[in-house]
Amino acid sequence: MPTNRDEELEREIRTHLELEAEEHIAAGMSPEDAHAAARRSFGHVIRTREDVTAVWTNVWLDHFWRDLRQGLRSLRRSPRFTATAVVTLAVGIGATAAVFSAVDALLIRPIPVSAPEELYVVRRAGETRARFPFEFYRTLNEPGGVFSGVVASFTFPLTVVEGGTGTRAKAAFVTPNYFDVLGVRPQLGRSFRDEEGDALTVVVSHEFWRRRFNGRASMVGESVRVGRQPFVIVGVAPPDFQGLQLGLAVDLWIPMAASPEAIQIPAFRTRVDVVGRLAAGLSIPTATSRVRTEHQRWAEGVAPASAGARTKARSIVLRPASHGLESHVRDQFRASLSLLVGICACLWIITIVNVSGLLTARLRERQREIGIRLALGVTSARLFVQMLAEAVVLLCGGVFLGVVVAVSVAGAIPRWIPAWEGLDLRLSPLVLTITAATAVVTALMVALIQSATIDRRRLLSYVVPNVPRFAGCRFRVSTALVSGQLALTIPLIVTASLMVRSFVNLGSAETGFARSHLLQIEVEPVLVGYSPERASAYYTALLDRLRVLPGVSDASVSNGGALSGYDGIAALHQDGARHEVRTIAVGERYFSTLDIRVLSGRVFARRETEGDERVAIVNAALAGRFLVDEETAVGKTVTLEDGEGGDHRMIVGVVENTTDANLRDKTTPTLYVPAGRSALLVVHVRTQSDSAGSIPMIRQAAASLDPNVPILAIETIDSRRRSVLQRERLLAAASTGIACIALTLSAVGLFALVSYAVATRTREIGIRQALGARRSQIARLFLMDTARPLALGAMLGLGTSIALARTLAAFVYGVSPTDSIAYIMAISLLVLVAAGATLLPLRQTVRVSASANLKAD
Amino acid sequence: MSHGRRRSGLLQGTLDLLILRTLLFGPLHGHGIAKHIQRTSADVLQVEHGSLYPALHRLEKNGCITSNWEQTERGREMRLYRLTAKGRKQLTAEESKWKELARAMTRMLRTVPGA
Repeated sequence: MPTNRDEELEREIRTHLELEAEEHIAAGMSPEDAHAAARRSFGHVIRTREDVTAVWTNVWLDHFWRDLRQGLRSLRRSPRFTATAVVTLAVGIGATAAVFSAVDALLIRPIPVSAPEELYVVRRAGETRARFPFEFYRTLNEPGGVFSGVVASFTFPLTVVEGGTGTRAKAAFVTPNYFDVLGVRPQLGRSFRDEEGDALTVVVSHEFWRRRFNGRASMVGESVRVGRQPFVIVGVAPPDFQGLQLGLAVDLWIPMAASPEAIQIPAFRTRVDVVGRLAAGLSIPTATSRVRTEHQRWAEGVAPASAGARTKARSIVLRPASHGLESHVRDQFRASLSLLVGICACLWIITIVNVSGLLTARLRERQREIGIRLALGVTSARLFVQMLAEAVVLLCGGVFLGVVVAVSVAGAIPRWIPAWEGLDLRLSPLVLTITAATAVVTALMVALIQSATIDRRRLLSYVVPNVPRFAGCRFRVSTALVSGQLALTIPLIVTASLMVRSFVNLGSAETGFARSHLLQIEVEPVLVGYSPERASAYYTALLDRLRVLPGVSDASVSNGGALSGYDGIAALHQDGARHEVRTIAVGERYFSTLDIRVLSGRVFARRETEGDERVAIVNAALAGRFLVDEETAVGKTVTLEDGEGGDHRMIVGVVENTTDANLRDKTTPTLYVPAGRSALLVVHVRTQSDSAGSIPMIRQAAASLDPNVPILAIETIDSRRRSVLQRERLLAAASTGIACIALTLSAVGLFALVSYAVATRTREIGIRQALGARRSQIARLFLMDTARPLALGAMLGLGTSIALARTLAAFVYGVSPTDSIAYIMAISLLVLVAAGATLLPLRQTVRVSASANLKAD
Repeated sequence: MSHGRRRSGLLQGTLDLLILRTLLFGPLHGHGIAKHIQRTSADVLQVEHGSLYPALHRLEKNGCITSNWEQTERGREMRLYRLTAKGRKQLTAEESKWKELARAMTRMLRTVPGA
């Protein structure tokens, strides 16, 4: 049995001809005549073969494959052009892919649990992160309840000591069913069993296991000291699971039963996040009302006399948790990423336009070839497909290179932006799909633009030699393309300039407290088992030691503020209304240490900060907002909410405003209260000269007090400021980089266009030279020609920038989005680059003699 | 190039109809189909034998006929084509379309100008 279709057809045809010939022979013909007659009746064998093949093959695919190979061959013949085009495409596509991988990691990708879309978190309307008491969680964990599986968790920083060294770790205290409900299987060991006996066990994260224990498999089953007690490591979480909150990479998971005895945590910290999967078939509204009923019933069971249980229950909502819990990093960077996506889109368009321009310029060498093809009957559609094939070949190279670029950039970013540490910026399938789709659209657009520049009718008439070589291309489309590139480059330059200046402004902004020579120390004795009283004494003793160190002018403590990353909030009752104000508990000499000016009244005395006196200090903003004016604020009383009758405090002083955590706002009302016997504080140290140099001394002083208490962090105020400005730094750097690329691409595009024009008009230049024109006059001629697309592009660009001013307003600081300096700089830069790109191709031609130019084709 | 052109003057659809009709009476090989059309139409329908094969392949691709290599009595290995159920349905449809066309043509040719 013949297997190949072509072979089969051959056999069939042969048999057919034989049979026909046999019939003729039987009728009396000679064998030769019979065979000839058979062939005549059959018709064209070759035609038959072709038609049969055409039935089974896709004609278009076949032709396209041939076009691809042809495109590859022709591109290989001009390596410099191909390299330029591929690099240009790689840049455009690589930048897009990198930004999209960040968008994917931060905004799109759900957490790596099974069926993330089924998860819901219990919150309250109007509050971002409302937590609930653990007992309430227990009522929700009944079988047959609203959830088929529900877990509770809260996070807390701890120290892990192993082999004599201590490391700070982020611990999540979870219910034993945590990993099972989420569907996360440990890569080593096991998760928690559902018994109380599992109390002193811990599951470590992949990152922590790799970093701290070098990925030793033997660690499973080993015992390490967490906080005050030894814990047994029972498992290692899978590599991509880092807890339920993006940006907060959990290092350890510990059963909640272990929390009270083993680790001392302040009571207010043991409210939990409640996350669960809804029971099958339950709709959200039904589930929500059932949870509310549960809460009401539970609240009334706990405190039957208190009113408002129903109202409190009514504020409960169920929010989808497919992306985990609310994430600070995501909220912080969401807007910046959107801006970056917009910038990348502009760059992508410039890339398309640029590569189209390059390909069009290359067409001049192929005009005769294309003219011949058109004369032979190739339709415009076929021509388009051929150009598409070439574009596809270029894009394959561009995508490959672009992905390489994107992977390296994406890998480097988290190291550069500390807030993104632990974020997995790999090129997920979604990102790759988007990149591929971008590439396909790019190829189509490039081919379309090229087709638009071919003037079919004129090309056809120029197949004959000895006719001007370049008449068949529409110049105007190319010029429009260049205008478009220039137009898009201007908003990019303006944005970059604004972002850079905002970043610089924020860096040097007035903070209201000392700008330098200030250190912040994070040390928490409670983490190694100090009781609150001992911890409070620890801080006092530490301050005494620090204050006598050489080079230290003063030291104090607080529980937040001054870019420490901690900010407390309290509710103020004033004039019958409730206001939430920033509240900082401070120790003695806080204001002098931080160099915060006292506007009226006084600071806290030593006995007030150590005791429990009902005093307070306000800043000018609070006095102005709530207390008529700052002059008479001293002596007035403010009332803080404390769950009972109200905490009445007398104002003893008014201080100047300090900046908020973002360095942008200096008008946040702030209340200062004495720290008293607070057990969790940040230590501030003011030095006389360079603060970084005092760090070793400070470590020694703390060690001499108690070497068991580890210093978790010592940072200068400059370093804190840099941390706070990560987002602005990212925007400034990224937008500048992209603006430079865009400017380069525009320059290259303009250069190609002018080279093309010069080549077209070489003879004309020769004539002018022969007639006595000077170089400067010829240069001016071409500059005038460039001026038109430049002017058009500049106008469009300025218009676009002004239109985008409102979007940019949210990102800038200390500079207006329509700041004239930015626009002037953008235009000047563009004019400079355009002049260079115009004059450079001209140089060679005007140096040559007139006769040489006249002889040019 | 264009698959619709036939030197025999027949439209592509007509050739398909002839083939399907021929196969109604039983499986046949390519040469036999050509001879049958020739004989039955009394040599009026001149079909180039070579044009049958693309049509047969097209019909097979559409699922109207199937083919098998079989041994004939004379010991030759030949490819026999058979009608499928789908082919039968297609044949009925094409036949009624053709009859309608024929009726319309007859009416056209019978009308007298001015009447």
